[in-house]
Amino acid sequence: MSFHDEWGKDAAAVALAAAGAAFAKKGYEDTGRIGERAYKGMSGEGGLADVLSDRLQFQPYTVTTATGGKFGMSQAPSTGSVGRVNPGLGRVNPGLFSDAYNAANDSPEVAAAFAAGASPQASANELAAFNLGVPDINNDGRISNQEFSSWSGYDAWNQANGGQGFLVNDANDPGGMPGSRFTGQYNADGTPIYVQTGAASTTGGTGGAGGDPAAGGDPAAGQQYVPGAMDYKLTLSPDEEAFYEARLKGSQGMFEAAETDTAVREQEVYDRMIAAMAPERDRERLALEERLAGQGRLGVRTSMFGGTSEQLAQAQAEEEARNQTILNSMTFAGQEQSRQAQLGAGMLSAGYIPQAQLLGALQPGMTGAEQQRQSVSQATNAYGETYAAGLEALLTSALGQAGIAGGFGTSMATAALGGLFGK
Amino acid sequence: MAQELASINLVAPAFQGINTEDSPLAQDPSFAEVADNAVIDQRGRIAARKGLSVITTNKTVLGSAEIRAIKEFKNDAGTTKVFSVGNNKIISGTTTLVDETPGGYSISADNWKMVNFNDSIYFFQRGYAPLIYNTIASGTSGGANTDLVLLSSVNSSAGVVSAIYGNEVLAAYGRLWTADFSADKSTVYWSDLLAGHIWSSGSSGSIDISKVWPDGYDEIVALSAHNNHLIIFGKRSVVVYSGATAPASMTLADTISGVGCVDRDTVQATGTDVLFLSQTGLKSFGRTIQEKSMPLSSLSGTITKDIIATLTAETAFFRSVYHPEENFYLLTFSNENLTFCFDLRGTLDNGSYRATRWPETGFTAYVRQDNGTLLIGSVHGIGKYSGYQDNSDSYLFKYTSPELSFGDPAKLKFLKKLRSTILGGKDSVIVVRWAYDFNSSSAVEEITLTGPSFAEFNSAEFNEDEFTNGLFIARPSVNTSGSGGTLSINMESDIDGKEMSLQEINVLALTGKTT
Repeated sequence: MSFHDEWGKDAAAVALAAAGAAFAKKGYEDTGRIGERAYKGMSGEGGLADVLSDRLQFQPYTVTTATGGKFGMSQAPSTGSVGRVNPGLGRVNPGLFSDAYNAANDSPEVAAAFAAGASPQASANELAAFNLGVPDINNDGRISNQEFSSWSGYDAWNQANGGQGFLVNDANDPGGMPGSRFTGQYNADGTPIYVQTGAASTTGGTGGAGGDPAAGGDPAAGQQYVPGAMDYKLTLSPDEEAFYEARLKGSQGMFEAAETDTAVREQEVYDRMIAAMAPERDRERLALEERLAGQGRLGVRTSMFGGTSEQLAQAQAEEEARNQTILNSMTFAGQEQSRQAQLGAGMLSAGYIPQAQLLGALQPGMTGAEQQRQSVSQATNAYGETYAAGLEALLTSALGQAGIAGGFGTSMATAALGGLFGK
Repeated sequence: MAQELASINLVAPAFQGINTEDSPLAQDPSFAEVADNAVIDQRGRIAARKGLSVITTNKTVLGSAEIRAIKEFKNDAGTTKVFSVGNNKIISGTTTLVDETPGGYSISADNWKMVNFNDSIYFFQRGYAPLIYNTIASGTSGGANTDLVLLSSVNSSAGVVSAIYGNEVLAAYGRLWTADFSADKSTVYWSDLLAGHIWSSGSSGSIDISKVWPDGYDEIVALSAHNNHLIIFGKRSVVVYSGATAPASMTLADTISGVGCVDRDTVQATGTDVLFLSQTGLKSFGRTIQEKSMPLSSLSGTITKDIIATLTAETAFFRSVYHPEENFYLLTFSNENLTFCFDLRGTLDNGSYRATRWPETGFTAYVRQDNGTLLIGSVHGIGKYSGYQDNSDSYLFKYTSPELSFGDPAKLKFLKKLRSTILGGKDSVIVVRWAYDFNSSSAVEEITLTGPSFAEFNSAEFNEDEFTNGLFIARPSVNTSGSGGTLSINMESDIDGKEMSLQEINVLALTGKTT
């Protein structure tokens, strides 16, 4: 074999080795990209994790009784995280709840919207809709576009705002994002400035997500995800609240009365009893006086009786009656005090009946909500499994392809190099 | 033709006492126009009263004043002591008057009322602290008291304050009762039972009758007790309470309007009735109760105007006494020095008592002792109603008949002789006067009662020796003159130690033509 044959053979081997290496590298790179793709598909932004997080996010619900009482739950403002929590973060960005957000969330308008039934997940636009009086037809604490447009005042509002048919959420307006809050400030171009949870303020027209390390977020090491503190609120209907307040007020009055020193009440009762007895007592005195006058004894004064024996007997009877009245008034005042305490306790118990009924209605509502949650969880679970299965199949296929390429390349390189070094 | 003398007998003349109310012409000769110092004796004859036999021999403490009240105190042991008041002193004794006034106790009036009660004698006068002479221990040392002391000083006394310094006091139904105070004329206080020194505890008491007076207002003058009733005399009305034994429960029984009592010392209980002097004469309580709804009668109906006039003129005090032994009620008007004697043995047709007068007696106090002796107080001290001299002096017994018409005032009567039957008065001089036709001047004759005649009325003479003298009887006759349609006869005599009564007057007269 000649040099030229040897060199050609070696060159072919080298070329083959290089080609094999190239295949191996491709297989290696493909495998990396598959990993990246798997990561993105599962855990990246918008991935399965986000989707599942959105779907499995706890949906606050409200139980409304037939009398209008409500049991609702909401995340307490400025607590926990709102919306998606990316597992890659490992924690919640402490800046998630910025001062701007907290200030906006604590505004009177937001509080008014919450009082009207809005949930903390409601967007700034939805909060505004609550304050406009848009009815939350399904009582979920949110105003949907349909609910907004079906509002009886929508046409007038639309006309007043240019007639462009704005809705509460068009998927672009930051003010329509769940949990968004209007800061009360405007940009130079007049667009309102909204703030999301944990994010810097966002201007109108652009969305923003907070806490995504891919977007530049820098999660601090060592902090754990803290779920938001939930507020479970029992809200009575106006009638129930009025009844409750009235009973409470009455109960307070009764207890105050029961705590009053009985001496004053005893005196009042005694005075009334004496006043009631006065006419009969006066009649008896007059009758005795007339009797004595008829007997010519009206002017009798004796050392034994003071006056006549009849006058002494009458005075004794009056004194005994007075003493008995004192005892009766004391007994009455004590019994009245007990009655007042009982009434107060009864009123207090009655005042809490609406609440108790509401709590009683809670179980069915919770059961229903739980069933819904289970249903959603099952569906989400199915979705996740299905998605993961599909993704896995895709990744497996890709891995196979990469493996083939890598294996071929390796084989080629091995063969080539083996022939080269094997003489 | 000579007429036979007609004999007109006035048997027991004036036995019905004085009558100055009826017309003289229509009067029964049994009445008298004047009967001075006379009584109606036990046989219904007009007779001279008894005199005052003074028994006080030492009246130094009395001075020149008169005895104003007398009371005999008799304790349970039977010891008696006579108390009297006069010369602003409380005096004891009868023969020798002893000043019993408590030391340091000042008296300026003698209008005391004395009552015996529960072995003590009490002295009450308006405005003066009551006094007591008793056996109740005085002070706290115990032991009986033998002096007259303040009622407030005796042991366990209570309530003896000025409120009970009454002018009237009555011992009845086991208590002392007092009334007529300086500033209260409508209240009666009573003491505790059997305790005249306790007025403010126990069963003591009072009654204000200001609302009971039938006329709206009156003033208590006197108290009396009768038949379980308490009689309260006002000046113009009388109030009666029944059940006074239990005063706390006594009730009004009756009221009498228009009849009151003049003075507490005119009230006398006779056992069956209560006599008192009202503004219209002597009244009987029982009769007043009975007749209050009918025209009232007066016990002094024969001398109503006289007694009212005397009452009106009286400016000092009244005194009275009921003496059952003599059966009379004496009523003295001290300033007028006139005593009316009411005979209580019977009443006249008009319901009045027979009345005679005792003028100028000087009697100022009376008390009947337990033994029946009538003690009389005067300036001479204390005397007895006995004998027929007033402190050794004589007094004039006087009788004047009404105008006697002998049934026919139109015919002239020629009085020829007056022959009277007089019992007692031996050797006394009788002045006989007679006048015709209401003439004030009269003829007069004096006769001296002489003769040893003795009256032996109702004396059996079987186996009796006649050694003692009986009552002297004289039948003096006086020859008279003159004539007239009516005739009044007057006889008077100084009673000087001898009793005298007028049994009969026999008038012998001729009846002439019609005038």
